[in-house]
Amino acid sequence: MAQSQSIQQLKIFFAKVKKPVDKYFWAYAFIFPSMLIIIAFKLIPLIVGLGISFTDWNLLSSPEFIGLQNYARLFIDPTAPIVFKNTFYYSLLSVPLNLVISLLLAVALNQKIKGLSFFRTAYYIPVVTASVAVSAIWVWLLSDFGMINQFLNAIGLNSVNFLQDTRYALTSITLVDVWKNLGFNVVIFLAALQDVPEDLRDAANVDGANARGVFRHVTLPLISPSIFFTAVMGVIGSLQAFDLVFNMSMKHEGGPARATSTIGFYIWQNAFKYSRMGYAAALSFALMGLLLVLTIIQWRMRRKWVYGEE
Amino acid sequence: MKNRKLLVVLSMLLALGLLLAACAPAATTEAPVATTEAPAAATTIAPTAVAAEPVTIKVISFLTYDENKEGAEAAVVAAFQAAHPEIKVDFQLLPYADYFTSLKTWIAGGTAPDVASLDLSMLQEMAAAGSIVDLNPMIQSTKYDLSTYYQSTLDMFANNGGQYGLPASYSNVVMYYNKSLFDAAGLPYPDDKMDWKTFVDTAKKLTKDTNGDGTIEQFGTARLWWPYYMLFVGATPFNADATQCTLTDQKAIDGFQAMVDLTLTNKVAPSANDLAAQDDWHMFEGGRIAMYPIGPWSISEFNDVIKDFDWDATTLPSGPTGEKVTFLFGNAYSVLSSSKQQDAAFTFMKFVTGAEGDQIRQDAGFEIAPIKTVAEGSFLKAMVGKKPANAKVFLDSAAFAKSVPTHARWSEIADIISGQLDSALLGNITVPVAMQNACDAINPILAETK
Repeated sequence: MAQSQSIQQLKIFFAKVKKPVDKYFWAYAFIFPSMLIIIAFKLIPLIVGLGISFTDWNLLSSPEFIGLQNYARLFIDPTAPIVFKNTFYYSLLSVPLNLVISLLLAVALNQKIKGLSFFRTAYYIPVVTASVAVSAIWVWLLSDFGMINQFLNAIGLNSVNFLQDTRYALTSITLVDVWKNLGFNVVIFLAALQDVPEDLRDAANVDGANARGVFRHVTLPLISPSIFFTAVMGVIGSLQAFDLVFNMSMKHEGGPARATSTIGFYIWQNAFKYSRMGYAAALSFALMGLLLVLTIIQWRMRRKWVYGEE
Repeated sequence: MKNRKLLVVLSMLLALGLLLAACAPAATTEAPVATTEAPAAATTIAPTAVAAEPVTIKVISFLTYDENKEGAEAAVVAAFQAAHPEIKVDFQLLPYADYFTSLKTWIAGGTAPDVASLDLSMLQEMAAAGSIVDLNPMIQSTKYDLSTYYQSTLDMFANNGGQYGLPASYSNVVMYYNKSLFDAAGLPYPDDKMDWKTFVDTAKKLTKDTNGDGTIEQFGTARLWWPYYMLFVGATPFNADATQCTLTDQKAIDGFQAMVDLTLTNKVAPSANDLAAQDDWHMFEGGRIAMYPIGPWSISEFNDVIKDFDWDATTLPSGPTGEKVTFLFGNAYSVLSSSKQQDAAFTFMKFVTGAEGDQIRQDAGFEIAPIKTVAEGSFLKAMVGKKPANAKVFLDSAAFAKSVPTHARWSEIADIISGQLDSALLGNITVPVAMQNACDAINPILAETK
């Protein structure tokens, strides 16, 4: 009884408060907690980071204002072009490959086949597995005496130094990334595929379209918003690549000879290994600018191919 | 329905309240302070039974850290605590990985410790930034006798006339050899007169494809950390005042060429690829390396693990130009500039790096004590009945030990050089090209730090 009474009182209290703000009150009330976290852990560090990018700061002495020197350094640092090139390679290889394979998998997993839930789970397990564990296993598999080289030897091929050869190291890590993140896109595509109305396909069939025609002209356009979403997220995620490089590169040094150093990895090295906080912050803002430009381009381009956006 | 909505909002507000409380630890710690004030005021009237308020110093260390057991350093601190009840030590033993990052973050956040253990490159970076104090004024004012330490270990932590740390442990690299492999090959054991040519020839004879499958199972030797191959020909990465990269000098190129040749040309040392499958440490344990350069940190594990063959130690061979050099590694304790308890901190330093602290560390078998009496007494005594039988070699090597070059930006410079050497070791580029690339990247860094 006492409880309902206090609830009654609260109701009266909120009824009073409710007047001026009315329907927006609840919206703000629900946004507020997450906004607080975003402000404390994203927006404030972002602004502070921008400030740091104009300073020379080694964490030990107090920061010294040096204007745009850190940004100028981007153009004279011989390592900067290497890490940007590596990151673009990582992105250009992983995003399309991931999209194509996960779309094919999603289509396959959308059929009524035996062991469906097993396969769906199996493809999603790498996504939720810690990347440290994934890296450790793949470092083993790809090592000189690992299963993959044993297989290559068994079919009469020579061993490949997957992670120690400058020619293959980055590709190897990128492919592990594709393998690890495949399941995420599969789930998105599966959801999209199940939203494609059956009657549209039936109608296309009645009009004489074969399976390929149905996929090309009915299914694909209808799931194109999902493809757009996964492409944007994929580009952002791949340009920020860090964990697999850190865990899989030789001696955790982004090597051999910088072959696997990505922008994200180089930012970490500058911040915490070389004590160049200012330059690390400048690199981060350069990366943010790059992501912004690429995302805007993708956003503009969507009118050309995403269903319902033209 | 309405009630449920209200409940949701209330629970949300409660969660938010908890979050805010968690975000404000300062507020929660302030409360007890306020409550203790009253009793404190009361005791001032009563006659003082307790001595002066003990000062608290915060100390962090990675020395003797072991993830499986409590390190000996905790015992060192406990001994200090027993001897000096007037100084309370808030001690934290941390793993070496991420140690420096944490320390720097604490300094930046204004929660730095008073005393920290540092390795050579950390110490140089901290000294250059003015984050640790020159101990000379305190050494002089307390008339602290430094002659008990090995001079080379003190020199390591000195810079421009300042003494920025007191050594707590040191180690140098010697050469272990697998007697059984030498016996099987009918070769004489290596001794301290071995020159580079004999070393390479012996290593070639001991490198074998034992099962005839085309890959090498037994290596003559293993490569040391790359700076050694610069030191052992007397080369340096930059000139004396650190304004110009000198790796393109013929001396440095010859030194690194000798290192690359071990793996690429002579194939007597495992390549990066071989090491990815099994590192040289475990290769030696498994009897796959005949002559293995390593430091005293290996003693306890090798004595436990190696049962199948007999082994001993000698000094490293002299380099291609006849110079005899070994690596000197060391760890020190330093006082942070931000410390408000520098006198108490220095009292702590004297104890933990002095004979008493060193004795505990030495008894636990951690590296070698920089205090001469402890090293010469306990280290050798503790080695009786253990391998290597020729344990004296660790102390003898101190005579020609050199430490890694230092620079405020050493970790960055070291990454540049090791990255280029990786390429050279893979045969992708030649040593002169690698050194040219390295200098192109290092010179701007040197110019900037001037």
